[in-house]
Order: sequence, then structure tokens, then C-alpha cells
Amino acid sequence: MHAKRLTHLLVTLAALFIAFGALLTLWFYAVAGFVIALYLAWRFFAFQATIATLHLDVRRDVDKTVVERGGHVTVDVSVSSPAAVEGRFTDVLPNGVELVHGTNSVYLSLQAGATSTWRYTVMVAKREAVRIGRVAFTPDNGLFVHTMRFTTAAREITQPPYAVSVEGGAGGVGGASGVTSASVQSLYRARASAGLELSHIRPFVSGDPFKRIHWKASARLDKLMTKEFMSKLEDASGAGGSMSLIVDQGATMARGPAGATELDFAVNVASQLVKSAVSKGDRIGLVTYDDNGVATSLETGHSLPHVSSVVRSLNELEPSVSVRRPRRKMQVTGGDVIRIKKHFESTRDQEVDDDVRHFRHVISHMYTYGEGYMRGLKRSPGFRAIATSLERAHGPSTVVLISDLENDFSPLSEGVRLAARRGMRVFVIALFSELFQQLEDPLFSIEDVYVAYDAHRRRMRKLEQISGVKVIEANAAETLQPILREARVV
Amino acid sequence: MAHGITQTMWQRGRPDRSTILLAIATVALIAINLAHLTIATGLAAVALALFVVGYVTRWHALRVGIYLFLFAELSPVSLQADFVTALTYQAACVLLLTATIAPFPHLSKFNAYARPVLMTLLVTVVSVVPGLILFYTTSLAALQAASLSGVILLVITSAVLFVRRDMLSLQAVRGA
Repeated sequence: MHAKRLTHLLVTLAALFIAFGALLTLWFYAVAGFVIALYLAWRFFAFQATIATLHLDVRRDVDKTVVERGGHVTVDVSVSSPAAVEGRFTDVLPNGVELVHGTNSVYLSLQAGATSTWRYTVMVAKREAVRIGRVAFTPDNGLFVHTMRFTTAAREITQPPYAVSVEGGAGGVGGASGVTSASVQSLYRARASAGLELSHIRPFVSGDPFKRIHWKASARLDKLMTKEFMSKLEDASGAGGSMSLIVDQGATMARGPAGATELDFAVNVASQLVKSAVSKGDRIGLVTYDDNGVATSLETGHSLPHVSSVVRSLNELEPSVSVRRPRRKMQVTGGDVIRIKKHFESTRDQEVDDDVRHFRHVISHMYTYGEGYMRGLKRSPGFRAIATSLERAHGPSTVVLISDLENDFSPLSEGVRLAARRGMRVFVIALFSELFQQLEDPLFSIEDVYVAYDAHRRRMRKLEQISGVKVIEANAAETLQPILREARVV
Repeated sequence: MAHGITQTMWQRGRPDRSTILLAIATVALIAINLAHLTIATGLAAVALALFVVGYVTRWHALRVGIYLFLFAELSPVSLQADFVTALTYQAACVLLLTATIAPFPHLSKFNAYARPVLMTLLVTVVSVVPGLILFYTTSLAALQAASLSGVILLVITSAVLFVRRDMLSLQAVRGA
């Protein structure tokens, strides 16, 4: 508790009045000083008593308890007090949360029993649960202020990639709902009514039942539109299948602004796929890899604990720390060089070109199918991740690889080729966030971005040439979703 | 509302509690001025009334509130005031101060203010008693004894005000 400047001024004024009264023999000013000092003392004790009996009732409501990274959450705060009090109320926002609209700090003039409410919107950039549970309240009676820090039972805004979290806390009485394992069960239950979920609307064609007409859209677009439901798409893609998710969590996946990195995007996409798989009753598996090897390996399954494990693993994904691996030396001895040189010297000029071509071919073949190549391939994290998911898959299934294709691309493409050869439906979601590097590195020019994008496109084209593989380039969930639907991945 | 001190004084065409309190304090001050009517006090009463009207309608700010309080304190009544007049005038000034500068504590919870009143009375007694003792036992004049009590009160008040207390920093809050 501390006195405001005004209080200091009044103390000084009281001292001056008392001195003035004594020196000039004026009762008026002596009494004035006395009364002002007494008044300040009384207000001080009254303020102290107010604080001691202060009891705030804080309630918060959030419009959603689960958001995707970068998503917005609107928080309604209601504060009431059994006694009248004035002061500044501040909801202390935790790290990873940014205020985008409204204010989290307001000056309240609370009447006894009356409720004051206001609203603010935050953007959640953090990767896990966000708790708004700390409050600073600074009562102010015009002469004194005191900051009190409360710890409230928090409303929790979880930010999993998908509306399921086994650890999600409801935050006690009146806390958030829908963030517990019950959410998984609700999704399981939702399967039964999946056919009721609207997928999209399309122009009316003759034969469509009238009850499927979307009247609002028809009125807006001035032509008849028909509703399409999820069940149609699901039937087309076939229920009861299996989906293996492979997520790259290498160091390069950390690129991008906080809360919207490549990995964040990858996790959000994966979340959609998990959600779709659960609603369809598909088995779902997850393999993640970083620069050092396979980081997470969960076999395919569709039980409640299994889906929870997948979600928890996605929640906990972090980009790996970049470790530069030592470059391997070529195993070529001096004797090899002399032998090859002698061979070329004994060959006629016309035949040199053919010899060189043949030599290259032999070396390439040996390297490709040789033991060293295979060993290197098996050591590659990307290839191992795909191989692991193939081992875990039960029968023909869908493999979805989400990566920026920057780490060990050659082994990765071999893995993709292997998966396609084994009859899997392979979808590669290629991420490109090199553009953001320009914002972080001033020496990184737009030309570098173009060069990087060209390389990215080349890698994508190489994968597209593999039959049975569909490569999807998307860096925004909004653009990705229709493509995934069209490809019948979800 | 940006701050309780600078809150709008007229809401839905009706004066709020602060305005009513300000009106009462102003009427009391003008009445005291007129009770000791001279040209100076008459002019002071008129000026005070105009000042208050200007404060309510136009210059409603903390700084102007302080000027208003100082203006009221430097009244010509001071030149001819006796003890009772001075006390009455100061009571009205404190009301004016409360109405203009510091939001008045709500008296609906009387129990919450009983203890502060007792504490304030205790402080008053502690400061007045030495003055009274000196007045009756020595040749100290009444005004000097009162001033001495004022100084003691000022010292106690300053000690109370300037010692910062960070109590109750953590409390549980219902609900949430």
C-alpha cells in the first residue's frame, strides 16, 4: 500500500497550515491542518479495512477451450464484490498469449453486489495449454493504492492440434469443459452422427432431394444450392482403413513466426487428419523423425488410449536442435587412382568417352545397390520413419508425410518410392517457409527465396514422378483443406 | 470511465453521489461566508459558487479539484473565524475534498468503517492529550497547544502514510 502524490501534497498542506496558524495566531488554519491530517489518517485506516475485507468474485468465460495455434480466443470476464470498491483489475496474460482486441486491464468502479463485465480477445501462440489464472487488482480510493495479486482457479485454453487432450484440466469448479478424455469419447460417439456434419454446398442438380437444399445460400447466390454431408466423402474414401502419419520435426521445421512455424502448421494438419480418422473409425499411427533419427513411433490403432497417445505426442512435438553431422570421407585409396589412370592411358581416345560413361554407370549401380548405400539409406531419419510406418501398417493404408523436404531428401524420396511400391496411397504435404527467413536474417535476399523455392519445386517434382504419390504444396490450412478433401485424404 | 476521480458527474441527467456531496459542501461553505458577511466574504462566496459550477460543467479534472479545495481553504473567513467556525468550515472543506478529489467511501458497510473510526479517534486522543496537558500545566497559549497537537498528529499521520505495507499480497478468489 502506498500514498499517492495527492496525499503527499495534502500532508504538506496540513503542515503548512499548522505552522501558519501557530505563527499568525489564526485558529482557522491550525484547525485546517489538524482536520486535514485527521482526514488522511481516517481514509488510510478505512482503506486498510476495505482491503482486508475485500472479496472479489471473478468469473471467466471463453468462447472456445480448444484452439489451433495462432487461433483467437475471446474471454468474457465478470467481476463482482460484496462491498463497493474501485480499482484497476488486470488479467495477467501468460507467456505465449498476445492481446489482439479489447483490454485485459480495466478500471472498475464496483457497487456492492453489482457485476462488471468486459471482453477481450487474445491470440494463442503458445504450443500447449494456456492458463489465465493470475489477477492483479489495484484498489484506489483517490489517496492510496495497493496492488493485490490473486491466484484464481483458472480457465484453461488448451491448444492441442486436435480437440482431444488426455491431460486437459477443467480448472476446478466451473472450469473449462471439453478438454478431457471425454472429448475423445464424444468424437467416438460423433461417428454415429457423422452423416449429419455438413461438408460443403454445391449447385443443385435435378434429382437432389429438396430437404438437402441450402436455402440461405440459395437466396444469397440467387440459385439453388445443395448441402453435401461428410458421410458421402467418407464412403468414397472408405471407412475402416488405416492412416500412417509421418511428421518431420527436424531443425528446419522451426522456421516461421512464433506460433506459425512449419512444425506448428504440420501439427495442425496432422490434427485434422487425426480428427478425420477418428470420425471415420480408421486406425491411426504416428511416426515422427528429426535430424538424428526416429523420435516417435506409435503403431496404428483406433482405441481411445491409442488416439490419446497420438494426440499427446503431437502436442509435445518440438523441432530438434540442429546437429551438424561430420562429412564422411570417400574410401578411395591411392592404388585405386593409379589403377584407373593406367586403364585410361591404355585406352584409345575414341573409346575414352564410352569407357568413362560405362565406368560411371557401373559405379552408380554399385553405389545404388551396394552395401554402403543401403547402410546410409537405413541410417537416414526420413527413410527410417517411412520404413517404420510401413512395418507398423496393417495391410494397404494411407501414408501421409508432412515435411519441408529439406533433410536427406534422397533417402526420403527412396522411402516414398518404397511405400508407393508396396501399394500404399502416399500423400506428401510439402511445406515451404523459407520466405520467413528473410524477416529474421537481413542478409537473406528475395533472390535467395526464389532459389530456395526452385529447389523446393524440383524436390516436389521428383516426388510427383513416382506413381501412386500425390504431392500437395500448401502453407495455409485454409488452402490445404479443400485439396485434402479433393484428394480424399480426409 | 477512465478513472474514478475523473468520472462523469452527470449520468442519465441525474447528478451522482459526488455531485450531491459537492453541492452540500458548497452550500455549507457559502453559508458560513455569508454568516460572517463582509465585502470580502461575499465576493468569496460568489467566486466559490462560480468555481464549483465551472468545475461541474466544464473543468472536471483532478487538478481543478485541488485548486477548488485550495481556493476554499484560503477563505477570507479565516481572518475572523473563531474555533467553532473554523471547525465547521473545515468539516465542509473535507466534504468538498472528498467530493472533488477522493471518492467517498461507501457507508453501506458500516462495520467496515467502525474500526477505522475507532483508530482515528485513538490517534486524535494521542495527539490532543499532550496539548491539553501542556495547556493546563504550563503557561502555553491555547493556540500553541493546539498547534502542538497538530504537529503530533501530523507526525503520526506521516509515519502511517509513509511506511509502505505490502500485506495481503496473495488471496484466493472465489469463482473463476
